[in-house]
Amino acid sequence: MGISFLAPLFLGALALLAIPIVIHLQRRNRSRVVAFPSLMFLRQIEKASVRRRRIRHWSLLMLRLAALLLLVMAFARPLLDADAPAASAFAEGRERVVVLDASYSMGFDGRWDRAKRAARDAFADLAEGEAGSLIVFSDRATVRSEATTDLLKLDQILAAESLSPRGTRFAPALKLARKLCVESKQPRQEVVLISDLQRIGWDRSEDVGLPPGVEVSHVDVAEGRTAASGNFALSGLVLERDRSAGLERIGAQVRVHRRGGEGRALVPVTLMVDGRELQTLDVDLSPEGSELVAFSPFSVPPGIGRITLEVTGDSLEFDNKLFFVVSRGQTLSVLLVDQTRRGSQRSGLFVQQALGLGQEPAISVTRRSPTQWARADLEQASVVVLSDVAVSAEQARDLRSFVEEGGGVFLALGNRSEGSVDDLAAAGLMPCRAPGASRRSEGTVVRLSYLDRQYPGFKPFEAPRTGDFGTARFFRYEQLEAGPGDRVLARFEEGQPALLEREIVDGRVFVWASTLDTYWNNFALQPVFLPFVHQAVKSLAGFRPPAPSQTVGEVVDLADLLAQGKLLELEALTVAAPSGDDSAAAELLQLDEHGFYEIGRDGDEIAAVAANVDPRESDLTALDPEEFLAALSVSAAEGTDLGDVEEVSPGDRERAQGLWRFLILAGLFVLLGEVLLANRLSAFSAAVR
Amino acid sequence: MSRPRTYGSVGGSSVTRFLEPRTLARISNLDLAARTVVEGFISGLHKSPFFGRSLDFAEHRAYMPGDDIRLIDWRVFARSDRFYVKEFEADTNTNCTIFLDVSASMNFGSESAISGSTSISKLEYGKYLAACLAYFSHKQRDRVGLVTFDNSIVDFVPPSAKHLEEVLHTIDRIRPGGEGSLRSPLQQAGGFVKRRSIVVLISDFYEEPDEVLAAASLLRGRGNDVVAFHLLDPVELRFPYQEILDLEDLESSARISLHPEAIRAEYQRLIEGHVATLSEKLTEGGIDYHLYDTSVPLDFALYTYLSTRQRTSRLR
Repeated sequence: MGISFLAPLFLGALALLAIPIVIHLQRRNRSRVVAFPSLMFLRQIEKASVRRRRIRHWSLLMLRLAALLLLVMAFARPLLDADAPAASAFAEGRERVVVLDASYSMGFDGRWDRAKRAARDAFADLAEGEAGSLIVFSDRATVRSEATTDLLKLDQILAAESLSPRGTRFAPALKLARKLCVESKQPRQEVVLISDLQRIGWDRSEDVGLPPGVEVSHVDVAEGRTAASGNFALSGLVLERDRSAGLERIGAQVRVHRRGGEGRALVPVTLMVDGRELQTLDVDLSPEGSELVAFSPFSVPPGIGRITLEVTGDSLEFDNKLFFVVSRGQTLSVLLVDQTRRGSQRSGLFVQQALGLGQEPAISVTRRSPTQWARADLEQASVVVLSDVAVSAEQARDLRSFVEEGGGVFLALGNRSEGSVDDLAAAGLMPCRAPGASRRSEGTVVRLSYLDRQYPGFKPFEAPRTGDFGTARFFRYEQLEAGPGDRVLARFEEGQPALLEREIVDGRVFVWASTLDTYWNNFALQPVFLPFVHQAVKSLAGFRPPAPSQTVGEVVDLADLLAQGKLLELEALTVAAPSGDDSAAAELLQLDEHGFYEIGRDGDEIAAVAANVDPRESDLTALDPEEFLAALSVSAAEGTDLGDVEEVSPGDRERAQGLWRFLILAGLFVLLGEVLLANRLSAFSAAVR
Repeated sequence: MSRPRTYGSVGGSSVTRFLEPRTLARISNLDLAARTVVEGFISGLHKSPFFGRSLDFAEHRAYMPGDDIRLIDWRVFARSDRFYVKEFEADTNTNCTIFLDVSASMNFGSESAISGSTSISKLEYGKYLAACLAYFSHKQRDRVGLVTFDNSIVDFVPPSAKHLEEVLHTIDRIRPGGEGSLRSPLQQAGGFVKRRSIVVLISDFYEEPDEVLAAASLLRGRGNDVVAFHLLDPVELRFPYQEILDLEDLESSARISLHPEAIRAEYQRLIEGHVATLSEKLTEGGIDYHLYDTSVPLDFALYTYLSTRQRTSRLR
């Protein structure tokens, strides 16, 4: 049976045992200073005062020390381990778990070579019969080798290791190390952490504690050194599309950072399109400085454009490149059905003007009158906007089919549409009119009082001062009653729905209870009208802006990616990784390398995904090693996930840990005895005096 | 003026209700404090050594019919052609010079040492004692002088029948000095005592008894009557401290750490030996020695002293 401690740090409090003795010996320094006329006689008997420095009541001192000892032991939470032999510092045999950091920051200034050398040294230092394990980690951890005494094998594994383009996270690696320690058959365990200890790698809420008794050491491969150049990194890419004169151009802005270094440095930043250098700009950077670099707009190449931004000048290459993919922007086709009102103003004029201003994505508007539009127009459109027009029952059914196939319909109600409401309701495109409902009488003005800003399409209006819908005045509107499954996205002041959403199979319908021109309201004259129309159309079309790049470690849904362009099924697709390895495409693509992943079929490129390294890893600021190692040493016995470690029943655990109660009791008894003895000695001293 | 009131009997004899030193300390007027203590005592310090009039000139006054013509100042008449008679201070008996030790060690009060509260120190006690004696001597028509000293003379007021107020004023503004020593200041002050005098020496005598005797003997010349008042605080006599403490020498600021309980007996033996030796040697040297505990009421101390002195009174 062995004894270990759940809170061994408390054993440090054993230093308290010295306090009674130190107090006794040092009391001279804290004794009261009293003025006295002359020390003439006292000097003759000074030697007698030495007597006070001798311990007079050994029994009392021993009781006090014993009480302190018992209390400290109780707080250290002794744990009885009935099965395992006691882990003794003097026992033979040890397992050394080397935890090697392979995140890309280790590529800076020779750290990786030093780290591998340190790992080899750690294994070479093992005595005969001692075992070594190897864990390699970045933001995820892998056990490369479980406990083995075969140093040659460990050396080969180490030689094959290479840097990962991922960031740093200590918690997964240390949990694995803890598991190896717990499962170890050796009486002693030791964890050697070889890392540059980047600050971003430790989230303090994560448990990184190792089991009690495990020795922890750290090999600092950064060694406090920084290269004179510092570390350059690119981040914060912003793309701006510009369509003018029939050309689509993209302007790219990127932020260049310099971490550390000495003096100012002039570094070139290059923009490459499909491997060809397009522009190079020089940036003057001070240590810990950053600059925004804006490249001139360039034409979007046909097909898939692979754009690379690169900065040179330092030894850490992973964060020197930023990859992204561009293609000519998607265009949303909108079929606008409107009619001419009295005075030659069209009911769809404002909508058409608003949609014509769309850049991201570009929106192409096809205008038709109620009698002109046909089924063929629907096939070309992603969204249909009916701006206060009458539709026949057949047209209503066509619209229903269009929506079921994934299209979007925006119904704006008004005078002209009044006769079609029943047909539209019959087609299931809008709710039935409430029985006895009547149109709002003229002369009373209402406003919008509610907009569902949590609706994904209306998120842009969520922040303060991003659209004041309360300024629009409505003179007339259709009274709607939301049916089952309908979602009310906006309401008037009196609680009547102003905008309803109805999902039908793959598509959806928006029903707007008033007109989209100035006939029943002045909403079209408000600043918020344009973004509202844009967001509504994008929501109806299910538009999501394509991400120009991903981060290494993310997973891309290929089916979703390809469906954006309504391309092909996944069968027979291949994925070429940046390293050149080809593999069959799966539904989910794990991005493990940085660069361009190319997705193709039969040699034809269909899509590309750009994967960049996590820019946070560029910040090489290190943790305080002492603080971090102290966190590792904290007992992880409570509330930790030890994986496959054998479960101990709560009763057994409680019994094994319950020793502290007895120690507390014993400590209290000893203290009681001390009080009694002290009183007796004090009374005796007084009597003698 | 307050008179000591009858309090009870001590040792079978009627005594006055003595004034506590702390009560005296509350009287800011030293003259009043001295009178408060002294008034009511009948006997004096000494019998008069001279027969005759005062020799201290006071002022001239215009001659009035009936004045003794022997008192006419003929020199003034020769210069001014007017009759003036000489007036003298009151008749005096003898000189009384008080030597008061104002060294830092005298600035010690026991209660301040134990409880931290302010109490009367040996110096304060000595000041009241000196004031009382000065006042007392003045009442006896003696000339009163004062010498204060630490390791040199600090203040000197020559003996005069007119100097009571100056003496009291000087006593009143005494401040504790530095390190003390007897021989050097007494040697200097010996020159000031030109007539046969009563010399009162007030000190805590923190020197070897032989040294004290040698210094006090310097004042014994010319047949002076030397009276030594040894002032000690009760703490100095009994050393009642309990807890371990650092004692700091008031004069040298040297410190020493002590366990009082461990050394109390030895200390008491040494201080008692010191007092006994002092008493023996000074008495042998013809010097009146009196030990005053500063917790004893001052008038009681004076009363005791004067009673003793009256019994053993000598004609000087």
